[in-house]
Amino acid sequence: MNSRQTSQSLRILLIDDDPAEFTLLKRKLAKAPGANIELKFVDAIGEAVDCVKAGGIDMVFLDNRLLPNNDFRETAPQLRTAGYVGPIGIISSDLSGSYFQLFQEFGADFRIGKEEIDGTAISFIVSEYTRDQLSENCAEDFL
Amino acid sequence: MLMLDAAVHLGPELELAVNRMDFFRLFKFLASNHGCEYFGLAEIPGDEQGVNLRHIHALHNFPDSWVGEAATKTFGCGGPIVHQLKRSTAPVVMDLRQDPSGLDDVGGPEAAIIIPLHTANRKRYGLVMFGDAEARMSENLALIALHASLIFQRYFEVILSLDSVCGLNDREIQIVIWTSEGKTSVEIAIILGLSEHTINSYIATVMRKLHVVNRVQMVASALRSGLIS
Amino acid sequence: MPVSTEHLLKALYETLPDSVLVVDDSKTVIAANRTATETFGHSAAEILQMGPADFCAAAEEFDQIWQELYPPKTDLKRLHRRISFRRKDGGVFPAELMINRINSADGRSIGLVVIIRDLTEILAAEEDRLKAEKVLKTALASISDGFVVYDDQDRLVLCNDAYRAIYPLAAPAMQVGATFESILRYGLAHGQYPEAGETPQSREAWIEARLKSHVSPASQFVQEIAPDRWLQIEEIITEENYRVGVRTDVSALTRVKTEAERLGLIIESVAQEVYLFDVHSGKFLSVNKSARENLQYSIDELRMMTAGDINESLPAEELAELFKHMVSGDSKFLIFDATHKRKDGSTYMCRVRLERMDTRPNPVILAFGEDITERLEFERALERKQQEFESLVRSLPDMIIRAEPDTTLSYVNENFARFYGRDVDDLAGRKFIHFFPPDIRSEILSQLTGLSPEKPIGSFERALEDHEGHRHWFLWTNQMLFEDGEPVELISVGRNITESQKAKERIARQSRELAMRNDALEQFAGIVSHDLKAPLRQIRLFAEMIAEDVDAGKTDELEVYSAHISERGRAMEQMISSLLEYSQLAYQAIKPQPFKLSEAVTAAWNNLSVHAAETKAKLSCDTDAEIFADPHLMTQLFQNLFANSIKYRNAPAPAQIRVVVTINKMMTSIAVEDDGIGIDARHAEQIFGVFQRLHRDEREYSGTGIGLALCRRIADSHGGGIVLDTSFSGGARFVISLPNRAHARRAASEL
Repeated sequence: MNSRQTSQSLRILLIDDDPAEFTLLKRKLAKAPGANIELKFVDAIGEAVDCVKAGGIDMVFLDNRLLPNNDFRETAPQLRTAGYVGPIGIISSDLSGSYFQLFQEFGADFRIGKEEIDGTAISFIVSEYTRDQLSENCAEDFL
Repeated sequence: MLMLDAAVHLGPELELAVNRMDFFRLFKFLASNHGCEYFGLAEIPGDEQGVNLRHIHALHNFPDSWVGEAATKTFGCGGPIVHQLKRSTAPVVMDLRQDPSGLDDVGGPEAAIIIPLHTANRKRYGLVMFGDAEARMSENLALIALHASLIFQRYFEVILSLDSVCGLNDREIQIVIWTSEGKTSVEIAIILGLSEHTINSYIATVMRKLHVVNRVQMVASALRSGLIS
Repeated sequence: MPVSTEHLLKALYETLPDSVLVVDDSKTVIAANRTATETFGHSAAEILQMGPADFCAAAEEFDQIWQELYPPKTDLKRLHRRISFRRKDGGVFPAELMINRINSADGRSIGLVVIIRDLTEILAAEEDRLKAEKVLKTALASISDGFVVYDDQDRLVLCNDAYRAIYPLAAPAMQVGATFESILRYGLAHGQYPEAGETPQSREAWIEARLKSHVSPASQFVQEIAPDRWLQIEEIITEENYRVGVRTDVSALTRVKTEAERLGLIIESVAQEVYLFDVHSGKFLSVNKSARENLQYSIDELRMMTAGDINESLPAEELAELFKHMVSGDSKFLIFDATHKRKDGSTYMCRVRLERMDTRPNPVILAFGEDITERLEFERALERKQQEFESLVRSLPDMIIRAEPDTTLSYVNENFARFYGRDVDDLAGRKFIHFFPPDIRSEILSQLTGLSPEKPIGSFERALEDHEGHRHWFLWTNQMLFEDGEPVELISVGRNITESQKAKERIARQSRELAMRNDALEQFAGIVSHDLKAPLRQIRLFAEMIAEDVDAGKTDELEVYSAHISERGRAMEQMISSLLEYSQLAYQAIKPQPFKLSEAVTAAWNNLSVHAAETKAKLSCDTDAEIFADPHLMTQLFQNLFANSIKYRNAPAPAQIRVVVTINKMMTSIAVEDDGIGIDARHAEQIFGVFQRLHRDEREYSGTGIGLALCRRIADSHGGGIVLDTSFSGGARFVISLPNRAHARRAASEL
């Protein structure tokens, strides 16, 4: 991961059935300070699986309701089954459904509301989920 | 919680927060709700040191330029904010335009809400939120401080206090077992259908719980204490 | 003629039983009497030829006697000696010899008279006497009874060893010649007579009494000589005023007697009435005190009466019938309740237990009677209580059963029997478990066998069908009774909880409905926050982007952004009006009325006519069924379904829609099916949610995903429902069910 951090771009895959979201996110990423992000977009889980299998994806933003699927509980595991071990963030206009609490069980790493996504949030996500926390942890002297 | 729920209506729910991302969202929501674009939470060191925003327990959405050597004036031990946090346990609103020392590093924001926080194990933390609406901040200072401490308390319970927690949960034990069988984080991630980050996060948590600093020690300690066999 | 001395002497001489020989001084026998000839067997003539020595068994003996006699001495007049003689036949016999000298007048010896008394018989008699005495002594010694003789002076003459053994402490004083009193006092002083007591007074009194009975014995009496040792004493006075005493050890006998006496006393004093009467005559032989007092008769009066005389309850012949087998000996026991009549005419209830005892010579009946007046009262009270309890049990609404641990019924109350339409008596012996449906029996049995002394009570709730087929809910509480850890009886109480169960079900249904409503509300809120917020957010963001681009002088994407904005705005308008429509229709009060289903179908089709014509959709509805519903809402429902079918047709083929009606007893089912693209069974429920989209290209269609939610809302409000028939293939098939008129009101009111 260190290599990726130092490399020019971080490749994020957006999976959303509304292409407008791609337009919007692209604009937000452009505003995220200090991050050089390359955004890929697909509008169905099948394509997404192909995409992660092809490799080179550092992070996935997954729309919760990806038609015709129900919600992330159907889609996120498909990415994991495809062997993807990078971070998956569930994005949604509404995170209030109680099933969201189980996001970790279904292989997701975080959740965020679509309206919560802005430059600083993206920066945080990038630093939080690309930081090699383990080696850092190992190096640090803990409490 | 009632007050918070009422105040933070439709925002991220405090009780549901499970990871740092969720707490990032909570603090960010609190900040933006009170007209603050930026927030930062970090431990206040007892000695003559500055605040380390890169620490694993720190949470912030500051631009990169604020973090690190460049921002020593703002977050160094001599800075007015750290000085305030070390001097007082009361939340204050600091008018940055009038502050004689100025905050050149930060630039822009007109005011800061400074909220000292404490963990149950007597560590001091500070939450700083930067915004432009000084008047509104002052009005709501008590409420903001209350919400901040509620979120922080939860943050302590879910994230910080792991250091003193004994015993591993099922998922952690699973991961220790896989580790003991020589699996790498990526392999375990594939086996369990989780991300490598999550696996590493679990391992980090286990290492903190067991007070060890690497995987070998982690497995040895878990075996010794009978957590795995 | 006077008898002369000479004649008298001669007769005496001849008849004397002893032999007489007259011998002269020259040792010649000169005369012998007849006895002599008979005794010795010699004739008189032979005797006269014999010398006196010839008669002796040993001649030298006679020579010795002769030397004593001769020469004659004046001082010796007679000689008395016992020697043996020999008869002519040689037999020797002992005899007593007496020789008298015959002197002449001048004192000169002229001869001897020898008298010989045969001692054979006398000696034999003596020997017999000695022998008898020996036998007596041996006999006395050998008998175990003590035997004693005191003479007329009350001195001890003799006593046997047993006598001494009986009085071992007094024995040293038992010397021949000692007086009875001295022996008695010696014995007393040495503790021979415990019955005399310890004080001098009591001892003196005892001595006095004892002497009195000794001097004038009346009858035999028993004397205690040691603890648990009794003697029977019998004393007889002989003609010679001797006292002959016999002491018999009667300890064993006395013991038996005292026990019998004691038993007799117990029987006499026992509270139960005891009668003994003759089997055949029925006459009382003995009646104890308790019976006498209760009956008020004396024993003498009772001895004149029979068992029948005191029995008031039964006439003589019935009593005889009752006793028949006892009299014949066929039965030994008899127990019955009788009314006994007292002397004063009053009566009492008596439980009598008779036992025949085959004593000799006459068998008797021993009867124990118990006055059961009180007991009867107690039993009656108990019975009353029992009846009260029974009526209580009867009046309880619960089913009550008692059974063996294997659920074999021993008791059921009327409720239980009535529930199954049977008689109470028919059910005993059946198994409780068989009154439950087969599918739950093993579960119930395992619960019953799981009962333990620690946890003897269990319960379960089950719906059971009565004999008329009505379902009732019961809460069965089972209690197993245990003895020594082993189950002995099962008591189960079944409470009819149908009403509370109904209430529970009603509450559950209401909660379900409430939950559904809450879900709907939540969904509504979700729609507001998600489906309405999403386009708003996009509109805001695109507007911001346009502003940014304009600021930056970029224009190439403005058109795209503004197109997005207007599209999202239009979608929102659509949604808002749909929501409005939904809320208007969904919560509208229904006004049901009977009408022909075909009318609603036709009205709906007409509303869609333009669209239908455009897509060349076809509808077939061949029914004249009449339904009871709100015609306006039903039209809306069909319109939505048809619109759906047209929308999701298998383009380019036109939609073929069919309406099929099935009328059941309670419900009318209306199936609406098409040959379109169909709906995944996974979404069978989801599709009824508000704004539920299943197709990404939905925006291309008019409609907002609210149609099916509305259909469901309408069907629900009629007390019916609508579901997707997931078994249908080759299109979508919705099945609407509506309650028939009779049930419609209730179904609707329950909502």
